[in-house]
Amino acid sequence: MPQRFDFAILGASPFAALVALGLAETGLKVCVAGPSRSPMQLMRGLDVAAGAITRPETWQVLQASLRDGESLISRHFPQAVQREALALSARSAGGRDALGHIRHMAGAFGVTTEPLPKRNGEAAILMRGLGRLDRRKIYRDLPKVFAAAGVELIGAIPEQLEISGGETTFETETGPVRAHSAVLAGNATAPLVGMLGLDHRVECVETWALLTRPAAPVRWGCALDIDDGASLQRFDNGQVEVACPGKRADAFERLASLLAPDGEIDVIGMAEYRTVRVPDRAPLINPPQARSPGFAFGLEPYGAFLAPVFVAYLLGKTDAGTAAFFAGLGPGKREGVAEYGGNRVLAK
Amino acid sequence: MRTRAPDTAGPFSGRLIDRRRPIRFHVNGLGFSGFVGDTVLSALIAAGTTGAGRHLGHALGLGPVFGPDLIADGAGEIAPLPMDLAPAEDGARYRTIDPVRPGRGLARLRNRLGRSVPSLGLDFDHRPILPIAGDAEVAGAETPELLVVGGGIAGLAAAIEGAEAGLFVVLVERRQGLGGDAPLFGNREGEAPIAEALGDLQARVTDDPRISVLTGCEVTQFATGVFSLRGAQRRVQHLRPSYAILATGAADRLPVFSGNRLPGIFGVAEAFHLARDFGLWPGGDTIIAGASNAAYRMALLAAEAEMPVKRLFDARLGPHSRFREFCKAYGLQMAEGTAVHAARRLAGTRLGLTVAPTWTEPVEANVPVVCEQLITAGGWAPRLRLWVQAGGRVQWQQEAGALAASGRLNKVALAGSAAGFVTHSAVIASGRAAVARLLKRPAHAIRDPRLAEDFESADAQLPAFRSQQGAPPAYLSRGQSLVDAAAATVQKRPVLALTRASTKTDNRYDSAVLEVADIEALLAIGEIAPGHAQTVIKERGLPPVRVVAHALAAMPENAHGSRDIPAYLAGRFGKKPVVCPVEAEDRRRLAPGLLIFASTDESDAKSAIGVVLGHTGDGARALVRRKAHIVGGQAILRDGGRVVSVILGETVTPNGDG
Repeated sequence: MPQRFDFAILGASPFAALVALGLAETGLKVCVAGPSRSPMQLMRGLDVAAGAITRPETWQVLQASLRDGESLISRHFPQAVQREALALSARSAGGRDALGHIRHMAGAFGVTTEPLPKRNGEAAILMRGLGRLDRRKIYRDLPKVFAAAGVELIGAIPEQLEISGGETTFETETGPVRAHSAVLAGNATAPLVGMLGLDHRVECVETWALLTRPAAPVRWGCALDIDDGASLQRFDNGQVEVACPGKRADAFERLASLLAPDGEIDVIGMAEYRTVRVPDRAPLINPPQARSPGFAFGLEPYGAFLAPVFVAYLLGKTDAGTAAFFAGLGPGKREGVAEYGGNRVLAK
Repeated sequence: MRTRAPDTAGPFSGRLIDRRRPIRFHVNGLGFSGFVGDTVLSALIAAGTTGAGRHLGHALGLGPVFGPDLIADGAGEIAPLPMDLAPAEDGARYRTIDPVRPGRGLARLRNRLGRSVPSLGLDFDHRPILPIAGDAEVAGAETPELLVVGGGIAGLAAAIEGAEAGLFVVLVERRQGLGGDAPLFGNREGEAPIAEALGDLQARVTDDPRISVLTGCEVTQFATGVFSLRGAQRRVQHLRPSYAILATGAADRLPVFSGNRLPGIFGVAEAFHLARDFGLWPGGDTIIAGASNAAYRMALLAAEAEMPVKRLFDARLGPHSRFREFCKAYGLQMAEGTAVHAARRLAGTRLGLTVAPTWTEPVEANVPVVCEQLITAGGWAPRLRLWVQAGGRVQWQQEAGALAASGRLNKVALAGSAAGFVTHSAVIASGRAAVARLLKRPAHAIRDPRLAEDFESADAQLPAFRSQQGAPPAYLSRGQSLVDAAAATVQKRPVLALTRASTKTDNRYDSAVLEVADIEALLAIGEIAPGHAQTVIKERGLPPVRVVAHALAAMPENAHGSRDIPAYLAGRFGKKPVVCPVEAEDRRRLAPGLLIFASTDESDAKSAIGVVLGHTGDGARALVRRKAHIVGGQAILRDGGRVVSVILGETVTPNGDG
């Protein structure tokens, strides 16, 4: 007999974990399939309450979710959120213009931003006072927190899902699992993207993460390049992790570019993984359907802070405006949802 | 203190040194003497210098697994070598890469007065890391047909098998001599004497012109099919072999207790090779402690060499083996079910050991057991660093407390103890079989019978005893990483009687380069979950790579200029917005992204009628909702907290033509 759940969340990111915890808090029986992570591994991503957001609708939903998001995180992972300034940078002409749009849009929603001096043709802005998640604390405490919340951790992401009669069934190391609804959340589910028929909507991209010895010479504690999607975060102990889509050499080059002039640093950890990228850089979201699992991609880096409102959306408990926002992010027509996604233009 | 055994000391007479040919050299300006055949490290230990320096406020011992890197003055741009690989040369002046701690004058005086252990006085709190060889050097890699890493009996057998198959073989051994650890283990009951088998294998390797042997040479890393080597030739070599056998043997695990790397503490394999190769026995009063049968074998060899062993502590309850029986016959004092819980330095070169029953806490009143040399035998773990770097998988074996290789690779194979074989015959056979498998030839099945528990107790895991505040660190491995187990969990003692003691996780250990042995120890003490072993080792078990700052190349300017409508603005201002010039009444430069509103009453971003796109040669352009666009009409925007009036111009086509 398969184990039965109301919701199966497939994913390994903090977003996936927080969605599972949010669902469990409503009394639903929830399981999570995803590679658990040791705090000694590379964290493979940044969680911060902002990003390369150019649309007022996205800022609005994110701002509305922040309080609940931080509250959900703090209830389960005390002290995992810290205040941090996020540096957004760009090197392309389009990227530099987009920084202006991001800056003024963020300002309209009460996020303090300031331009940073240009360096080597790279423009940057700084957003202050944002919540940032410490993934190491999340992964350290995750098994304990899930156990306390009644969320069952059922092992690795399954190789395939079967959906029949509106229910999703899949095999795990501990036997078959059947869930009333399943949601694929984040990069760890890249191997399953093919079964969703989303080839025209997403691309799976080779990505490298590098971990350094503790070091002071990086310019910012938390940074995101809006052109190539490279991110940087400095941990409590001074270690720095850079994640960069592309080849390994690209990640090394990106790390080298973030050091102060004449700075040097030792890379002591390295990981290659796949990220699910949405070309228009807007989130790609769909609730579970009768013949397809739900999914949520492209929410980095702010997804964790959006978890409560996403949970409400899954449960059909959002206001009409938020529901319309999420509905517009589905895989059908995606007009007017794009965020800054490199040098893409509509017309010349 | 006598540290060099006499040349009549049988198995510990120093097979690699020529006592008739003394030499003298300097390290960091300090003079040392030795013999031809010594390494810098062995000569230092022979001179009584068993201290390397200080780390985290405590003394750190020198040893073959931890010989800091040095270079010879005037040697130019050559790669540094660890001092156990560097041959001691008469008249040479070496200097270490690690800096010397300031204030060494007082320390030297204390050494001379016999109040402390002679030490190189290096500072291990601020270690430099050397860059790893770059791709340019790798381009010159030599291409032997078969590379065998490890000159123990498995490696020798693999080299012979490869040569017999017609391959040109390079055999690399880190130590100065061939043979590996097999002579330490002795023969199993019913096995042929290892000395005979070893002698035969060595002779065949030496005589075969197809086999080149590099001793005193270390394989530092394996990446993209290339092995990087460093050795006595003082240069980095790169080999890109068609096939590789990793006969890297098993590492002697470091028992985890406070002070486990103080000067005068050696692993059993380290102590064996120092004694056998260089005649070194650094300490009059020697204690052996562990949970491995190799401890008894070492005690027997020492007895044969007439080097005294004061006591032997075995952590196991009721251990038995024929070597133990022989030790009894020699009259060695032995205790079972007891382990070293902590070590600290006493005056001079003496060590004070806290010894207590294995599974209990030592009581305060315990009188320390005093010795000059502690030899630990913490069991064995396959050396899998290169296997992991080659992409091989590993699995945590809870019972053995070690990682074991799993799966196979196409061009690289494990052999001998690294592959988990134990008996000499199986280890030798595995070397041959590994080559046969790589060449896709038939190989004989390997029999590796384990002795029944009734006949010989299995090696056991030692429990970890983490250090308390203020005590010397409890390191996880003997290597260069210097990861302190106690840092994983720091007990905060109560300051006042009313406050509670608390435990917090310190991430000091997490900031270090992790060696495979560190990860293995972290698994053993529960800091890493077994399910994470493979990924942690894959991500963190790498040699460090130095990155130097440089600027990213500027991205080429694309066609995306201010007259284009970026995708992220699509639909924001209606289906058919207009692009028009926009000018501030005060002529200020308008930055891209500024939102344009119909009046000062509006401030919600969603109610904006347009946005500044950017600048062309003739001023700023805006994207404006068609219905809200009035040529010459006024609108407002907020720039830097100020309301600014702007005038909208005539519609331009997206490509800029009026």
